Amino acid sequence: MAEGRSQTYITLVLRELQEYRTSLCWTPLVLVMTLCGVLLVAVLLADHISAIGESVSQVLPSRDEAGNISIRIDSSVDGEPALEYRLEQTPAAPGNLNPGSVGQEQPEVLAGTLNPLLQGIHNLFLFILILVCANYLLATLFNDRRDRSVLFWKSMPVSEWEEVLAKFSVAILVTPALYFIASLLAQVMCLLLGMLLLWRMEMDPYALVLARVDGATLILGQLGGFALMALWLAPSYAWLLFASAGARRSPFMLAAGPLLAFILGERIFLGTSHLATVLSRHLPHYSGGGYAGFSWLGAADIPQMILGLLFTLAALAGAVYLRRYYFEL
Amino acid sequence: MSQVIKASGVSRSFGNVKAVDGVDFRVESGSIIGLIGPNGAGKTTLLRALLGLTRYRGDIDVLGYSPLRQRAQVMEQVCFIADTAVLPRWMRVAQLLDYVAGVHPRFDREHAQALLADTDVALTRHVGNLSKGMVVQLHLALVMAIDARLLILDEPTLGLDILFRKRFFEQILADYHHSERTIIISTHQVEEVENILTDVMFMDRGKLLLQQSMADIAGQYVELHALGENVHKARGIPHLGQRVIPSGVAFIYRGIQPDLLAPLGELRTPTVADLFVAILTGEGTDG
Repeated sequence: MAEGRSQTYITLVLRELQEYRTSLCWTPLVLVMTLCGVLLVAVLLADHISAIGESVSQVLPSRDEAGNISIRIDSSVDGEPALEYRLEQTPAAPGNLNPGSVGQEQPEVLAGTLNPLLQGIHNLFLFILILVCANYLLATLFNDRRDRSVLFWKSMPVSEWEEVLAKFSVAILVTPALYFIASLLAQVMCLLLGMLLLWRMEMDPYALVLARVDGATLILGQLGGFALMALWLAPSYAWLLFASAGARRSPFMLAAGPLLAFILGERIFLGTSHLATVLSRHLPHYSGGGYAGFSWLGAADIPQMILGLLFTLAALAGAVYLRRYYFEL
Repeated sequence: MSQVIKASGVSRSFGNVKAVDGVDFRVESGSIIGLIGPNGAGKTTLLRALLGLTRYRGDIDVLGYSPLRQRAQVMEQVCFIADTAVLPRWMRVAQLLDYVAGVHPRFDREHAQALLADTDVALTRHVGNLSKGMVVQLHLALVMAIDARLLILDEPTLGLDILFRKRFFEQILADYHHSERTIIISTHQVEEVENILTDVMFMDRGKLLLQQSMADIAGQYVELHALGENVHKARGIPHLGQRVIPSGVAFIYRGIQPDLLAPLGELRTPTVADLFVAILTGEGTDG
């Protein structure tokens, strides 16, 4: 029985991946290939743009030198509001490199300095992932109703809960996994091509690239970021699925319209913006060091996250109800 | 014979319109039932209620399950072809077979492929690129490869040419139907299915006007073709309905001994279509 259910689930997920293969499967692959293509062109042209090569070889040591320089900004000298910028030469740490010893630095000092660059690549995938998932969730139940294939899907021994949960899991689990693999592939390819570039410029690829990547921290952070994103985005995703199940014409309007109306109404009549504040926690936004805008959980976040997950269940139940009884346009 | 469907007091309203109005009926295993009615009679709503696709009041039992609460279990043993092409157009035929094989425990993929081998439907083609007739063939192959106990067809041949329509019903009768399988067919083209039906149900304005076996219809109803002065005499006998025929009038009677009518003209069993019109229009003088 359990085997039959898992077989059904796999079939339902495969069906989604087939129907939305362009956005769910091809888009991340195209993104990987585009990034790799750009870097490959850079590698192939490396010999012809020696000026870039020279500047890179100068920039890399000078960045390390910058570790010995601190900048202090003092805004109050003797009670006078003044700004003073001062450069201080701090004593060089033992073992720190000098311009003449590129590639001889200690890895523990530099490990992780390339992580932000790789995280930037990952963030690009995250950004596109969220757009793709939102679009998928708005379309998936609505398109079945629009082309009337819903009658075929409903003629199969699959419950509405199974259908809705399979679609939800495609957005919250399966597609992020595909995009994570693609992101990882892109990051590895970028590192390899970067190493190839440096090797062609007769520099030490290991010291300048591999030693500067803290892979474990990076991957764990990115995986944790996906989990965090799933937990915070679940209510938004479930709401989009609900809109897809219930919309007569435009799922987007059903998803966005009532929320905007409530936010505006609250602001106009009550002068508050509680709903907007709550909603903003469940939408991707930029907050500096977080993953897709979501920072790690603090104790104060947990009640809101639990409320969000309860809302997720309610929205999914609503989508199931609509799928069961109001599927015709 | 066991009962496949038990329905009592089934009603479904859309606003003020009663699409199905207090319908009671039973369906025996192995029967082929024609659900006959004009547009808006409530046929599709009733069929959807049997499949759990719409809410309803009353009780429905399909193969021991409640369609509303146990739709997935019902659909394991019930197949359904809707009134228009509803197969997903973006799918390839092979993907469609994979999908049904993945979710339906009673589906025989090899059987479906064998059925499709006799058609022009190639496994690599997209459903959207198939003609309407081919889509129906594909859907029929999918359904016939499922070992189901009940097949519900809601205007399955709508828009198809007469050759396809004839072949469709012949194939169902020859390759699918047996004593353990029940078929309910909703159609406007009564004449084309009349010869394969074992029972008929007439519906109008949400109400069930008649549910009877074809054998009972032959025993209870008689059609008299009266010519000349016999028309006047025949009209004097309480009848269900009448219609003009060349040089005379055809009357349909219920429960009258054929011996009494035989002197007035030629007797025959009324067609389902004529009986339906007679009952529906109520133009006769029989209560």
